[in-house]
Amino acid sequence: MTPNPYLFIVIFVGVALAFPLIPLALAWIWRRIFQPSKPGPDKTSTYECGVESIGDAQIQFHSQYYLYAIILLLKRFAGGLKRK
Amino acid sequence: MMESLEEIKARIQAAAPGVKIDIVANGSPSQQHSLLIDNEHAVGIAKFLRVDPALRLDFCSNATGVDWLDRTVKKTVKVKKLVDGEEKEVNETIEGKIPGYLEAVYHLYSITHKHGPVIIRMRTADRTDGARLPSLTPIWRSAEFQEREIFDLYGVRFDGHPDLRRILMWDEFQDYPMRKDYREPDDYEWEPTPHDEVLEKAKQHYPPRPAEEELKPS
Amino acid sequence: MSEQIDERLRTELQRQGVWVTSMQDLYNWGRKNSIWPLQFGLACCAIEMIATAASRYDIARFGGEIFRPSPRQADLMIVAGTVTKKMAPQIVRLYNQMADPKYVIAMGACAISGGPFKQGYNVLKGIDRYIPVDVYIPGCPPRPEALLHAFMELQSKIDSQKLTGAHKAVHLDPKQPSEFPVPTFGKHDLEPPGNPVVFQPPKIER
Ligand code: SF4
Repeated sequence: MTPNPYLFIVIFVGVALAFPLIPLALAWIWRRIFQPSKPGPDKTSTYECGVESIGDAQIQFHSQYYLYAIILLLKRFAGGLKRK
Repeated sequence: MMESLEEIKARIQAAAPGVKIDIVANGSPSQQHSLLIDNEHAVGIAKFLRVDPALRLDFCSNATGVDWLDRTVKKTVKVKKLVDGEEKEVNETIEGKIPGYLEAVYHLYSITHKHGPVIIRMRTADRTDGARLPSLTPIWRSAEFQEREIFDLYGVRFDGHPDLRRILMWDEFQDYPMRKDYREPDDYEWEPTPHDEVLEKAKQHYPPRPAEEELKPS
Repeated sequence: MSEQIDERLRTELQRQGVWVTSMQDLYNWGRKNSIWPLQFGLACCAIEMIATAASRYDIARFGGEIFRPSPRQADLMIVAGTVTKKMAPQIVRLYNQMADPKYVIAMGACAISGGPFKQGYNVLKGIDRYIPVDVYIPGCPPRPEALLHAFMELQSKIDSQKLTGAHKAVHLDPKQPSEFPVPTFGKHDLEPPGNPVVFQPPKIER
């Protein structure tokens, strides 16, 4: 009896899932038993450069910025074509 | 060879009459004498030094501050006095008070003619409210950060400076640490071998000695 | 679970080809051999730190070659150089942002006490005023060997940390803080000038 040729893929998927999930599960168990989590305002802050962030992260760029970017892209692209 | 300071002074005064310039002699072996220019015409003089074809001091390599505290100077003068009905010459010492001021000193070189340095300095009126000088940043761009540093550490305000903020210390800081009368905050901590100034500081933190009687063996 | 194994039994078993370990030993063994330092240098001592990381002294032999540019991935902060008062809040904030467990090596006279610039107006008199330091290295600058020695000291410290019990490691104790207050810029000095929780200079007795 030949095994189903797709069995390989099933095993493969199983191993592929087990590899990341087992360490994650171990870490989760470890955290529950030993390591208390200690979050804080600095630890959970978005940026990690040491300097406090100023203002809002959601600022609006001027639309001209995108225009410039597109023109720059076009120029570079065209320049690359010309050289060819 | 570059002209001497006297010649430079004479030429500036010929070009712009009414400008006050003194030559400050330097007695040390370096013999780097400097021109003390008056604050009103400083920008004009600086421009002259920069564009004059013979000088062309186009590079300001260094700008720094100097703090002069209030000083008392003793002078001995011969005074005619009546002593026992006779007129005699007597030596007398008078004490003169020189109020303190701050200085900004600029070292100028010429890249074109490869000569220098010409040193110019400016004096503030006093060390408090009158600590203002005209900024030479419009003439020499390289003075920008150094004038900010002088502002930061000596507290000289430069009029006409494009961006006068503290550069080394934080913005909330209020003292001027390079001034001679600056006292740093007392954050003394125990040290095994204090000496000099640290010893002086340490002594203020030592607990008082126990009284003599307590030390005596009973 | 993490009770120490009897050493004699363990060697006896090893002789028979059975390798036993405890959870604590395994945990510490893994941690001590993969200490990732935070990648930053403050002054001249940083040059020695760079030399230590380069091939001649080769900190990779001890598992510490992965200098991380992000505090979230780092275990060890090597304070290599002069900490100016303007920089101190940033250092403390970076320390706060590091994930537990985290360790600090104060490298050089400057990081310990301010060193040759101790009387300077903008020099912090030791980083231990704000964050707990695990290993101090004297010297100006300390040689790379000294940094390696400090690294090994840190490894033996990690190795001796307990997983459970009253004396368990700081990062496993929920009552111990993981963040320390960041000093603010005051009018004349940093405020506060020191954190009394971590910094108690010796008192003079007479
Ligand atoms: S301890 Fe010495 S070598 Fe290290 S940062 Fe300070 S001055 Fe530089």
